[in-house]
Amino acid sequence: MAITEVLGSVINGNVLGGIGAALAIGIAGYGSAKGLGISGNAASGVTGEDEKNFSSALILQVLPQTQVVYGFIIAVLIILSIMGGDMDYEQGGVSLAAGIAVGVTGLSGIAQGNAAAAAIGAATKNPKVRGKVLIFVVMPEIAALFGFVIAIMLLISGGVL
Amino acid sequence: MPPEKGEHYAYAYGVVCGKYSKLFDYRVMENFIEARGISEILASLEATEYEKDIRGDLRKEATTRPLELALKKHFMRIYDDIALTMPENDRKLLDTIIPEELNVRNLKIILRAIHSGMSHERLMQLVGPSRKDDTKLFQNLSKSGSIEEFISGLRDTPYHKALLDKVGAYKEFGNLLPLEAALDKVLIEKWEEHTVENDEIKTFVGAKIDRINIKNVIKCKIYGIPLQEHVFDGGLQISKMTLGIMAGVDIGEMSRLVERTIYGNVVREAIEEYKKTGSLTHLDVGLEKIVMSLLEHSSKFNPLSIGSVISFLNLKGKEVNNLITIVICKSYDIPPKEIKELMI
Repeated sequence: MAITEVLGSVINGNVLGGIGAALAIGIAGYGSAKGLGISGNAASGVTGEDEKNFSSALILQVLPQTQVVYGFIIAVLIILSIMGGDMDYEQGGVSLAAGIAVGVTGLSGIAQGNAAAAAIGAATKNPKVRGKVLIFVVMPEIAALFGFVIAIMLLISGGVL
Repeated sequence: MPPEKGEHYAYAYGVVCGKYSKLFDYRVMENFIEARGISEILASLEATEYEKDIRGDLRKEATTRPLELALKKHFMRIYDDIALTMPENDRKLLDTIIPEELNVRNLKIILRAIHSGMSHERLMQLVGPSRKDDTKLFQNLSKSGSIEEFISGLRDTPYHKALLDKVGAYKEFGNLLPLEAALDKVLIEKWEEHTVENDEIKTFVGAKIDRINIKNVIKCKIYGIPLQEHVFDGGLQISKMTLGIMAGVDIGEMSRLVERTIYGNVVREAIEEYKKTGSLTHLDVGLEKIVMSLLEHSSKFNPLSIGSVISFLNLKGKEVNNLITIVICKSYDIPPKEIKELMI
């Protein structure tokens, strides 16, 4: 049998969809975890010096969490669609694309973690800028949000949702 | 995906930012300056981060010398706390930038004291913060009766050979510059060894080398000492060739040769001060401000870096120095107005 025939017998719409779900949660999860680790280090540092810094540090520290939430939602939608009935190749393909879209943009969590760490430091040095530095930390979120929206649109247009 | 350098600094940055909020602002320093005596200063310090370093016996009887030692110990404790949070390679780099440079500064103070015949007690007031082992070494060296005895006391250190090579030049010119330049050379070699992979610190260290070179070329000119061997490669904006030209012109013309560098204004003002008063007091302070401003500027664009740590430690060092100055001045009943003029 030719390779293409072998692959064709193994890879079907469900497999493509499954890979898409894995990429959605896997890559976005990596981005969030890294970002939370970086911002968590900074938050630990400022809280260790003064417990009063805990609440403002927490608000900033938790922001890179959203990327994995977007990845989780897309992964769940894809898997529910697979469970609801076999996906054809077209549906599997758009699910894979949706997973890549939300997963890769989820790497913005790493940049957001760096921004959050810097913001935690700035807000600790000068509490008056707490609101302003929050805006800087939210900026990388936009990339993840766009990835999430495109992923939803792909799933709708491909007949998965 | 390889970890970015900033990741390793997130915790250190958080610790440093937490400590920034504990630095004394000008209002608190004013209160210390206006304090009626050392007991009042001690009482105020007990409510701060300094509390851990003010021992029980100090609380019973407030005296100058133990309080000075406690303040110096406090700085080294803060340094050690922060250094432990950093990646190991950068910790070694930080050691050459801060404790090693403080050690060289202290060695120069002791050299000058021996050269001028200063009393041991007065000398130990001038010696800055250092690690426990280094403090013992400085206490022993401060009792040296001669430069040779001092150098012999440094036998197990990298400074020994470098100083031994320059004793002849010291005796020939009757000036400490050859010995001080030898200490600088050892320090610069340590900096170069550790800054190979760090561009941000290379710029900072380059500026420090410029600072050393500018001071030395002016001193060589004033004291009639040959320039070679007293200036070093690796400067940020001033090459050895420019330094050679500076050594060849009148002292009044020197500032013209560096006017396009970041040091231009400071050198010009220092030379004007020298012409009026015969002193170069503000040259070192002015050059140090420029060097630190370079680092503070770069750390604003890259806060998760060693630059933020060094900037904070520099501010902390100034705070401790100012407190020590206030304590010494209070023990001599110097009025607050005069104390303010001595603040850095």
